[in-house]
Parts: sequence; C-alpha cells; structure tokens
Amino acid sequence: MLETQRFSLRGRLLSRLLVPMLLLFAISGMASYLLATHFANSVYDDWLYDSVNSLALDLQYTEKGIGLDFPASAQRLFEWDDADVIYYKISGDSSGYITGRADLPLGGRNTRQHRAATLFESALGGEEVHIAMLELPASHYGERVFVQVAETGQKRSRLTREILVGTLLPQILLIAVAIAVIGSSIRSALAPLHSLATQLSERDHRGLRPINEVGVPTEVQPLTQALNALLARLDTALVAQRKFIADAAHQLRTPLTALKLHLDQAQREIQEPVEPVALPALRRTLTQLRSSSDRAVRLSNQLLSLARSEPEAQQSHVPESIDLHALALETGAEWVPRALQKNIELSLEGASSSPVQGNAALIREALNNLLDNAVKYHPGNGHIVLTVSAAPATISVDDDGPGIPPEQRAQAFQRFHRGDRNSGEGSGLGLAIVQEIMAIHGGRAELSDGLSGRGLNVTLVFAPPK
Amino acid sequence: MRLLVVEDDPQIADGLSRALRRNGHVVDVLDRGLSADITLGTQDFDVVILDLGLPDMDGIDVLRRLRGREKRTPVLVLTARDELADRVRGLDLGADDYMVKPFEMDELEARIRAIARRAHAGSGGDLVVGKLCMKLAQRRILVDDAPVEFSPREFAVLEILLLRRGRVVSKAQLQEQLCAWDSALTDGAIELYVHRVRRKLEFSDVTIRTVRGFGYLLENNGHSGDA
Repeated sequence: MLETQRFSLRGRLLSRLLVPMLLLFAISGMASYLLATHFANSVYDDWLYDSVNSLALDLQYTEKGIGLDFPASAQRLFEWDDADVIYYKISGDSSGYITGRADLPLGGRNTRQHRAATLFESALGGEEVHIAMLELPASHYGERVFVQVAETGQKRSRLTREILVGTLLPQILLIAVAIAVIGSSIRSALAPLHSLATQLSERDHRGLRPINEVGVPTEVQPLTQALNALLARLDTALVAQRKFIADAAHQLRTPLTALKLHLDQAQREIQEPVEPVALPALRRTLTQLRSSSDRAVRLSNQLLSLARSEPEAQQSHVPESIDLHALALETGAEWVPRALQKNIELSLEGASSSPVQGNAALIREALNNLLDNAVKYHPGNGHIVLTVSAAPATISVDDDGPGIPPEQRAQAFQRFHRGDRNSGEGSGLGLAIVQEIMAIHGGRAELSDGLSGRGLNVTLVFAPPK
Repeated sequence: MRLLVVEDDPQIADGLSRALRRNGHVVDVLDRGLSADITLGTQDFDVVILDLGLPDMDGIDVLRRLRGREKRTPVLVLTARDELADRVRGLDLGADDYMVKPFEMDELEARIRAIARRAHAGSGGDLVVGKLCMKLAQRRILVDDAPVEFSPREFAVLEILLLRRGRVVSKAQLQEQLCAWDSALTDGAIELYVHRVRRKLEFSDVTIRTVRGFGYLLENNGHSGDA
C-alpha cells in the first residue's frame, strides 16, 4: 500500500516563509557588515597615509646623512594613542636602517596602493600590524628612502566588533519578531480548520447533521460542502438501513410468534386433550408449525441474499461470462419436480446466445426468486414458461397464476411490499432482491401480463455489452 | 443403511439422527472433526453426512483426508453458508452432494438415497424402482421379474435416468454420458432412444416425462417425487 505523505499546513507555511526570510536577513547583515568594515578600514588607512606623509615632511638631509627632525614632544604626540601602539621606521637604499623601529619589515600581506603610499599587513613582535610605506625617490636625498608607519589593529577590530554587534543585534531582533508575527498569524488563519476538526471529531456515528459553514474560509468551503453532501448521503442510507432492519425484525417476529403460538397449542393438545383422540388437532397444529418455520427460514434466506446483492458486497467481485441459457437450464431444472407436485408444467424456451457479464450466483438467485414466486402463488394445474432471448439479453418467467394488477406493479419491487395475492407466506422481499441484483448488472426487471393475458410476466433485461 | 452424522450443533444432530433412525437407518453421531477423521479411518459407512463448520477441524479437511485415503464412501456436505455451496459445486471437493442449511428433511433423505444408489450402482449392484429392476452386473432389465430386451445404448439411457431419478436430466447431460458409446449424438438420436426406452417401460410403473426445454424426468407413478 502506498504510504500517504503527511505534512502540517502550519509547518509548511512557517518553513516556506521563514527560510527565505532568514536567508535574506543573513545576506543583508553580511552586506552591511562588509560595507561598514570597508569604510572603517579606509578611514584608518587614510590616517596611516597622513601619518606617513607628515613623517616624510620631517625628514632632514644633513651632513651626517638623512635624519629625522623629531622633537620629543612631537614624537610623543605622534606615538600617543589610547588603544594602539604606533611604530615608525626610516630606511634608505644604501644607508640601510636610519631610525625608528628597526625590525619593521619592508613588505607583507595584502599589499595595496593607497594614493602615493603602499599599504600592507605584517606581523611584528608577535602582533599583527598595519603598515603604510612611502617610497621617496633618489632625486631628493641621493638614495631611495623608505618611510614607514605601523599601527596595531586594536581600533580596527574594536570598530569591526561594534559594527558587527550594531548590525546583527537588530537583525536578530527583527527575525524573532518576524517568527512571532508569522507564527501567530498562521495559527489564527488556520484556527477555523482546527475548530472544524474538533467539531467533527466530537461527533459520534449518529451525528450526521451537516457541518456549520459559518466562519469557514472560502478556500475550505468546497471541502465542507463535499463533506456535507457525503453526510447527507450517509444519513439517507442509514435511515433506510434502520428502517430495513426494523422491517426485517418485524417480519421475522411474525412467523416466530406464529411458531410459538402453535408450539404452545401443540403442547396443550398433548397434555390436556379436548377430544378423546387429539391426533387430528395435533396434525393441524403441526402443519401450521411447519408453514411458520418455513416462512422464517425463507425470510432469513432472503435477507441474506439481499445483503449479498448490496452494491458494497459486489465491489470485490470480478464479473464472469455467463451463458444465460445454461444458467436458466440448470436453475430451472431444480424447480421442475416442485412445479410438478402442483401439476404445473415448467418449460424452457430459447437457445444459447452471446454471454452476459456479471455474477452468476446472483443471477441464479434472482431466477430462483422469480420461480419460487411463480410456483408458490400458483393455484396449481397450469404453466410456467422460462424464456431466454438475445439482443437485448433477457430471461423472463411467464405464468398463468393470479398475477399482479397493473396499478400495483410499481410497488411490487419495494422491500416488504406484500400484494393482495399474498397468502401470508411471502416476505415481500423477492422482487426487491431481483431488482437489486439487476441494478448491479446495469439492467432492470419489468412486470407485465403473463401467459395469454393472465398471470404475470417478469422479464430481466440485461444491459447491452459495452 | 449405516450412516455417520458429523454435526456439532446438538439440536440439529439430535433432530437429524432421530429422523434418520425413524426411517430405519443405523446412525452414529460425532460432533468433532478429529474424531470423525479417526472413525472414518477405521470403519465403513454407507453415507457420511458432514457439516463443514466444525469447531476443531474443518469439515473440508475431514473430506480431503478421507479422499486422500482413497475411500469412495459417499459424502453429503451440510453448510450454513451458501457461498460455500458455490465452492462445493465449483471446486469439486470430493463431496457427492451438498445441502444448504436450513434444509427439508424429505429432500435430505432423497439425496442420501440418491448418492447411496449411485455408489451402489458403481459397485455393480441392482437398481430397483417400483416394478423395474436394473441388474447392473448382468446388464439386464426386469419388469415385474420378466426380462425386457434393451440395446446397450438404451440400457445406458435408462441407467442415467434411473440414477438421477426425481431430477431433470438434460439432453446435453445424456449426450455427455453417452459420448463413450458414440462420437456424436444428435438431439434427434437422443429423442429416438428415449422414445424406445419409454415404449419398453410401458408395462412398468416407471415413466419418463419430457420437460419442454429442460430434458427428461424419470418418475415412479406409484409414488410422486422420489420415494
């Protein structure tokens, strides 16, 4: 069996809305962070550039060589910073190291041009430093001179941190609010479905009144309408079934009551015989007993075959190919001796023709019902003709018995309908069963006048093959 | 006849055995499939009346095991479910006949007699109906103890009708049974044989009735039905 995939509407909405939203938030957070660090970096790069330029301006060329006119006060001012440590270095092509921090390297990673200066990063004494380097051409001092200013990264990373916190915190807050808002609106939007489910689950199998459609969203209305239509059909079926069971019980009660009465009577006749010889009375009572039990048996048989001819019971049945003539021959033959007991001649007309599709056991049942009726209600000394014909495929039973007046024929197919001709033996189910069986086969049962204008003709008309 | 009734419902078993004993049969009653299986393995009965819905062992299994032992004991199956009737009819479980509950005692008696008769005929015994006696072993027919000449084919027709007496036998069934004698028998030929047999039975109390469209029915005029 195929496993149906289950999912929650709420979960699906939440995930469909939140996942793209979170992605968008992440992208925008990343972008603003990158932009902010870029600008922060360029501000500090500018400062480094300015520093290296002003340091280059302080360069002096004396007889001792290249020197730096850097008074202590100016140096303090230059080096003072509350967060970072600032280094500098002057070196020359031929002079080599001149002044400042000697181990400041001349190159490093992430080398880039910032106006006239070269910027790069490098490690210095186990610490990461940002370095700006100005290269003065040999025309000034007789050799190439390199002026460098280095700064540790404290301020930069602090700014980066601040920007990170400043951008991410509101994003996180935004996401939290969005989840809450979306979650609650989905819940409230789905609330009618939930209450619908509660309303349905609180019902028992008898609660088949329609679902209240007030407050049901338009999108769900097709569902509730379909459900209501189904409930209405179920209700009709249930009412019919309940009526049928009540009728059936009532019908069964009649022969059972008669059985009990006659049994009591028989016992009394044996215990306190009125006449000297109680046998004739006893025999009469026993005959009654027998006919009552026959009725009960017949009724239970018919109830069973009615249950078997319910469309639901037929769903699993694979239609078979049926030769109507062979079926009529086999079924009818069983009735010949019984008919002869009442001196009724049962005969079969017609020949084999193209087969019909259906359930042979049910068609046999239908035919048995018709023959049973024909024999049972016949006063005796007459004829019953079973006829099979083709195009359209039909089986008919004609008799010269009492028949059914035309005005009563329509009702004759109703369950538990018992016509005037009824001698108290019939259950009123026979023709209802026949009709039900024919309905399953896409055909119908028709009543008309029987042999030579007397009696009854019942014709089973089968649907033409598709 | 010696009959075995295998039925677990005490009321039905009691009613059945009482009615059968009244008709002069010797009746043993068992209410379990297992004991029936054991009994059938050691003793012989003329007919077994077997209920299918038994509490311990399914009647069908009892039947299957009986046939597995190559026993030809005639078995009449009783069932409460008519769906099973179709199975009995269709699957050829090895039962000789079946009846759906509730049934008529008269009909059950007739069926028991019929299957016993068939088994009897199979073993070459005599078939007696009224004044008519068919000696299967010698393939002779006596009416009022006087022999009547029958051709082999006429004898076969009468045998089939006698074995199914009380029931309608169709021309198709006759053709099927006689096909060993003749490759193809037309409807006209069948009618001719039946006509001849009928002529030869003129002075017995057995008649062959033509049932239009259905076939033939052998009746004993002394008794209506199948007595």
